[in-house]
Amino acid sequence: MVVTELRVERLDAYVSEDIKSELISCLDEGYEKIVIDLGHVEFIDSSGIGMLVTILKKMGGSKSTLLCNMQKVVRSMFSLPHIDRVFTIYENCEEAIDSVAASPEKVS
Amino acid sequence: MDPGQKLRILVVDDDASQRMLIAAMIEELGFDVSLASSGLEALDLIDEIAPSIVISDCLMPEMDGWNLCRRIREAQDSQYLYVILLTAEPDSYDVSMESGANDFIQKPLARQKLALRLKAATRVVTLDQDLRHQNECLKLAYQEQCKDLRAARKLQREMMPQDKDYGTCSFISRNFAATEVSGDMQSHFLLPDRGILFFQADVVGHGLRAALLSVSLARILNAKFCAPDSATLTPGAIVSRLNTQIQSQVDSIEYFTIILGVVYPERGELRFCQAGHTQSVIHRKAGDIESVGTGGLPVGLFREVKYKTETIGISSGDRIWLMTDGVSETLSPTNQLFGDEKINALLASTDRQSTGEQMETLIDALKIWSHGREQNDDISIMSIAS
Repeated sequence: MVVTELRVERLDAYVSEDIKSELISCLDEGYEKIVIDLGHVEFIDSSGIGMLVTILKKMGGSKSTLLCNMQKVVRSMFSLPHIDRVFTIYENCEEAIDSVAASPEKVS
Repeated sequence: MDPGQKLRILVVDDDASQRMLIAAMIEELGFDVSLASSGLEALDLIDEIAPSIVISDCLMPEMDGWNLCRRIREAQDSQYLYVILLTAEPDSYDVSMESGANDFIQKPLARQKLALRLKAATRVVTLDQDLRHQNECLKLAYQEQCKDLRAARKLQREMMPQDKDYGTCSFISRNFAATEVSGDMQSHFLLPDRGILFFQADVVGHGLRAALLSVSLARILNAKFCAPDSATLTPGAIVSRLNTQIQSQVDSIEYFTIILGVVYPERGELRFCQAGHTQSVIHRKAGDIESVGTGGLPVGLFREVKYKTETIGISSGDRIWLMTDGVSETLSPTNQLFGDEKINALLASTDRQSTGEQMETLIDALKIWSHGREQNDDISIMSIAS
């Protein structure tokens, strides 16, 4: 499992492609699960959501891709397009990590 | 620059024998030479013959070498002239550089020293010319690309629908691209069963990638696609069909949100499928404003998605507004969002106006809100007036 903290305020078209590449090259090292801490993110748009979906598809589905620590406004961005049904979302990251029950390697 | 071309050097010196001596050395080294006996003459000649390098004595009457150099730098618009100052004074490095010279050589001038300095000068001049040429090419390429994008935009605009009154209801639509081309697409058309199909789609991101997908959408969504064998599919079924057709590769982040619906004004019914798109706003004749739509997954993300159809009743005098999120997310110079509340408030306060007038009022309000700030996302607005 890898835990990653996205240290951007805006997850939008400008940063999504780069973050996607970074995450994918990290995931290519063979992690089975990824927990993404979105605590810093204040805004997400369709590109940001698309990027997360790409990660989800690469990881093989919602059981392997956990999102946590979303700010309220970001959480609401997930509900209208029903994307929240596709991801496994946790309020806080400790819960997410616990649910995976393996020792985490923290990556930023 | 043509490698066979010789560089031209202008030699400036009030002493005739000095001039000839330097000129001879330079010609021997393989350059073309021009001569000037004063600073003023030099300035005229520079305009006339456009040399690449100037070698000037410092101590001259009327205008010394440093002043000549300053004048050359002041007059600089295109050509970056390489200026070498010749002086007998050993401590004039600083003042020479301050006056804008590229190099200075202490007299007496030896052939070897001159050769080396001119070699350095040639390298700089050649680099500068290459750079300028490259910039010219880039500028041309960029202009070509802008031209292509403008043509693409024109094509896109032609695919966007004209305002139309179908008799039972009328449609007005506006689209503003954030960049040269738009990632939004919208349209409306009559179906065989006399329903009017409409849609508004917002492709992820903006720019050329999004525009290409938006254009293919417009091509796919036609009467035949929506009503094969003349029987109109439900909006949910149409979007499901669209999803299957549009499926992108696993790694690309291309997908879009769409609201697609069919309005049957005579039946007082509007059916729609809201796939990840913003909610629509209904402004009832009585004055109340409500947002409708329970959302759904966007299109193009996952295979095998079942999209659902929702139905609402409409009656004469009702207005329906479809807007992509670029409207609500219009940013002020201080990064404030325009917001849904403002949109609803504006629609409420303008309900005496025609939908066309309301459209213009809304667009003006967005322009004022953003106050000259660059548009951050594509904006599409469609109004349906029953």
